[in-house]
Amino acid sequence: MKVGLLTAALVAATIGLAGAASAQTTTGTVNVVGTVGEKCTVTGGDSTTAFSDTFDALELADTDGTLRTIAPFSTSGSGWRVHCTTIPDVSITASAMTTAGTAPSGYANTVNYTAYADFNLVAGSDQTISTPTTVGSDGPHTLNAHLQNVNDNVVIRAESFATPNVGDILMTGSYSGQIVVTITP
Amino acid sequence: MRGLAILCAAGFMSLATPCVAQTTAYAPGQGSPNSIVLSVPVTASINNHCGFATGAAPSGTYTQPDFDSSGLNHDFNFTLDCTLPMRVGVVSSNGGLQASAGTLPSGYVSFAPYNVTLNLQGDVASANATCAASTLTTGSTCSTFLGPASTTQGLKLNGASNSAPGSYLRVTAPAYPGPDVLVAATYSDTLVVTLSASP
Repeated sequence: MKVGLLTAALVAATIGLAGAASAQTTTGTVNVVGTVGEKCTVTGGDSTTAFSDTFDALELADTDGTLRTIAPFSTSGSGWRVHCTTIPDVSITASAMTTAGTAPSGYANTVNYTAYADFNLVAGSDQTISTPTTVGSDGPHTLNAHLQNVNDNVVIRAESFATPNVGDILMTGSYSGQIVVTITP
Repeated sequence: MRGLAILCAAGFMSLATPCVAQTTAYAPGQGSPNSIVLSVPVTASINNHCGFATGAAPSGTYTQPDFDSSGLNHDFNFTLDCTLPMRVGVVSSNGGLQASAGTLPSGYVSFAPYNVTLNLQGDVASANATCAASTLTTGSTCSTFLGPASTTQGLKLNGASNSAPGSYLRVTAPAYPGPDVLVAATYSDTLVVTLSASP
């Protein structure tokens, strides 16, 4: 019996059609976000958040035992630079120089003064806060502008040293007081 | 004697090409030949494709508090799925971390630089480059992977990457060195990563 045969000369449609990828692009998107918080730091100080200086008035008494004339004290030139990421609030406290013991009438164991903090601002004149040690504190106050980003943008001063009563004779001893300026972002 | 019927054997193919009789086989003793060999080549291929693996394109948000003191360091991982050599490009919207802080006095800024590292991992090859974000804005100067990617632009991975692990987009910056002060604010940038086949 003769049987007719059929051949199959077929080619798959996909064979040999491995085409190049199209020129299309695909895309991804990422976001990078950072925050800078409200803060103040200091360079040239004792740490990143503190700075200090010591003023030694040496002998306080004149030859007659009363308070001699004491020149104003200033931290100008200390090289401190306070960096604040925002306009800060500032305040000052100051305590008189005192020595231990009790002073009888006509004598003194206290030397008062007036403390100042000068803030160098980016706009306008310097802003100053101050307090006599007889009051003790001032502030907080919000500065009128950012601190100038330069050295010595905060300067602490003291002047007008005086005993409680003019002519008081100073008691013997070691006298100390303190000025604290607080800068809050 | 039983006849042998051979039918067109192309059931797996979709072509409608009609089968054509070309020769005849005979039963033993009835003539020659007694059989016919049919040869049907069976081959296939996968079309080239190029893209990010499904669900593994660069994406997400990295948020770094107080980056001025802590710096930046983060990897956005992604996966390539490309059967051809390819190029990947990056475009930065701001060229750095930018805040909306209005006009600032001298000594204060609301823009911070950072670096972008692009690492492409293929099945065999790899590629890596770093540019400052400031050079990744449209038309800027990053010579290695400034986007958008095309057949001629972007960091080239000279080989396929069939979902090879290890590709990433890295953002880094040290603590802000100053001397200017970064003002308190939220800073941001957007990086757009594009991929193109580059045979």
